[in-house]
Amino acid sequence: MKRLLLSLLALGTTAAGFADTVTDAAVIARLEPKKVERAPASATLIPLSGNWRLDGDVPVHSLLISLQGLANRDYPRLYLEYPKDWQWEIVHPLRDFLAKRHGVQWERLGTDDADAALTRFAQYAKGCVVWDKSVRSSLIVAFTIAGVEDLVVVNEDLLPLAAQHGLKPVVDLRGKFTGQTDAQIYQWAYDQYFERCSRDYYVVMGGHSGIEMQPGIADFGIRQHAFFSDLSSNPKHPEELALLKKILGRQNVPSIVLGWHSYAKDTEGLHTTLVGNYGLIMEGLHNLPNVSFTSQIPLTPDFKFTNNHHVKPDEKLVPENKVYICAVATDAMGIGAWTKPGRGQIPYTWQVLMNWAWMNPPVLQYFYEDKSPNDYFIGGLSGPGYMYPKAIPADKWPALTAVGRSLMQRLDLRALEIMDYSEGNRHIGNTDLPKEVVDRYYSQYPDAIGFINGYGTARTFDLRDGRPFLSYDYYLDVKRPVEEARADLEELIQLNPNRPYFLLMHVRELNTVEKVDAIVNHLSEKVEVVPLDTFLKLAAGAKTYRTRYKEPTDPVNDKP
Amino acid sequence: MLRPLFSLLVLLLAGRVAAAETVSAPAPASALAGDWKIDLTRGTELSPWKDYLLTITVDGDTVTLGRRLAWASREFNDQLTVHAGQTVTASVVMWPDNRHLGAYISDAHTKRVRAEWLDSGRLLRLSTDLVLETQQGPRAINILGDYKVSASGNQLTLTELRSTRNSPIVYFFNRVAQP
Repeated sequence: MKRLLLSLLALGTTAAGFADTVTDAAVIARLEPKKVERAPASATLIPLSGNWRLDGDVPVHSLLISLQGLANRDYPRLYLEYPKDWQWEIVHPLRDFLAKRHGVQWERLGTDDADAALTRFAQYAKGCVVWDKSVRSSLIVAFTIAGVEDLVVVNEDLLPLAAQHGLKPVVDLRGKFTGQTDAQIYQWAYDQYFERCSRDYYVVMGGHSGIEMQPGIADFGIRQHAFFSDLSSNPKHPEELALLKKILGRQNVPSIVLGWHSYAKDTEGLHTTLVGNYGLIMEGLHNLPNVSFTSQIPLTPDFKFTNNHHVKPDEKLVPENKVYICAVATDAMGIGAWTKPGRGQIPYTWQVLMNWAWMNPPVLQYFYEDKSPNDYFIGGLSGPGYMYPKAIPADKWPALTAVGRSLMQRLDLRALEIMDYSEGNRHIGNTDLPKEVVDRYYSQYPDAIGFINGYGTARTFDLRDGRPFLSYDYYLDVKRPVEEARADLEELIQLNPNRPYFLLMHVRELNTVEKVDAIVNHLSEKVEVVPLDTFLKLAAGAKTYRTRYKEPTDPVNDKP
Repeated sequence: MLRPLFSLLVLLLAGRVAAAETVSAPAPASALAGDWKIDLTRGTELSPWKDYLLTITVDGDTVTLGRRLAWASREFNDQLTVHAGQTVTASVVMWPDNRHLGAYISDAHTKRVRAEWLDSGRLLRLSTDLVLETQQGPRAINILGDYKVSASGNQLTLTELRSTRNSPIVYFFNRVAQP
């Protein structure tokens, strides 16, 4: 299977007309979890409760997640059914998809039934690592140790249960970190375990903080022998930052950073900027579940990634003198509107997490097969994974763009979405790109029919060889009422009096398509809503927007 | 003949007094002065900001308005000093009024603001002219902003009419008690 994938990717690169010094196939081959020939005929399914408190069900969940990482290391055996209100909402639809499309029969155990789970899977562990209930970070260190030493993660309350299944403590962290800072705790973990950890995967086990933890990605991190921490990228924490830089600097380029920054320590902008500085790829969701299971399952043989294209790559469209609107949702395939009311009602554009082609194939197969005729896919975010182009040194681009081009071709994607919060965000600073970065996108993604930029609004615009580079003119906040959003769009139409006017609208992922429909189709001005490929081709046909890049005088926020 | 002239004089004087009343009626030490925190349960939705603190100081005809708009650790602060009856040119770093829109302060980074007291100092009206840059180029806009204090003196209502927007923007603020 891997050989077939390599061949396909190599073919893709050749077809793109690129002779890369860094081959995309080699990068993906290094990163990609081995695939089984086909999905398992049967697998164990364990429902998890909705309690994610450290003084609640996190201890038993951590046991089950670590056990999952070990049990799934060489074959997909265990799937955890996260609660229905889990941020990543596809757990239940994917369970049914795997059954229906991949033929997996589920053997369901009781909710949080660690005893039954250990009965089935304790054989894949060599013992247990005991975390300290009074030191939150000791649990994160325990995930690292679990992966390196093949241990199940328990606290002292679960020791008797582990013992019943023959799992003895191999590493005991109780009392080890009392009174220590996170910098000291992770330095110890680094000194003890980093040399034996993966250079292709690092997990930032952040997101929720304090009494809550949602370590949904930990099974995959354990499977991949990743080093775990929630080290801060905030200059306010210089010791943590120094250690984090040391860790990132020792990872392969490119390689994967799983998880999410700690909401208590730093910001998305700071962390993703730092990851980009090292040419690494952020795959950002700390509670993305079951990847140790799904990463090994290939696509069904009859499936091919096909998009709903509306124009040919070389086609030219002539716009009318009117307002065109295109609605694009980022991150919405999994944590947003995909499963919410209204999908299919209007033309809608969805950003695809491209690395899932090799890291999470059945999930992308689910989305591609579930799409309606009005759903159109584009690549993102800024490349393969989540990255800020201004933060990535120029010499680290070729390896990343080689992978990006290859995945776009494989996933039948023709447009690329870009986001950069390294110098600002949707509140302050700016999210624009200087000309040299725009030049890089044009030259390194020659097959893209166009690019879109922003998250909040931005004002980087260009048009070269019939390929527009447009920015978002509107950001639809989740809390923005329909009436105010209509007034916003009508104001934009007033502010941009020339026709055609190309109004690119970024929809925050939790807004439903139903809401967007209620906004765009009830304006006082007549508009036409189109998918992004049509929008780009129309925008190529009448350049009513001014070419602009980030200017030296634009405001910059150095702590985005 | 004398009578009509006298009447005209009376009318002119009355008009002058009225005009003076409109332009620079001294605020009653002004009720507007103080710190005002937005009431997010009322008025126009504030996103992308989650907090808005308005600080007003009044010194005769000189009024200074400070804004602190915030979303978690992201903050925008600016300050504007105006003189009743006069138009001032003020510098603008950024146009924070609606960050959902692709509209930015022009390269001149300035705005012209005329201030007036109305209703015996209960209401401050600012008429602001500025140029915003959009994807299609510069666009001149006017914003008429009324700062009104309630009879109790504890609530301030800011109503903004933007020339490019079909509906008014209304924010309600509560006076922040001084320690």
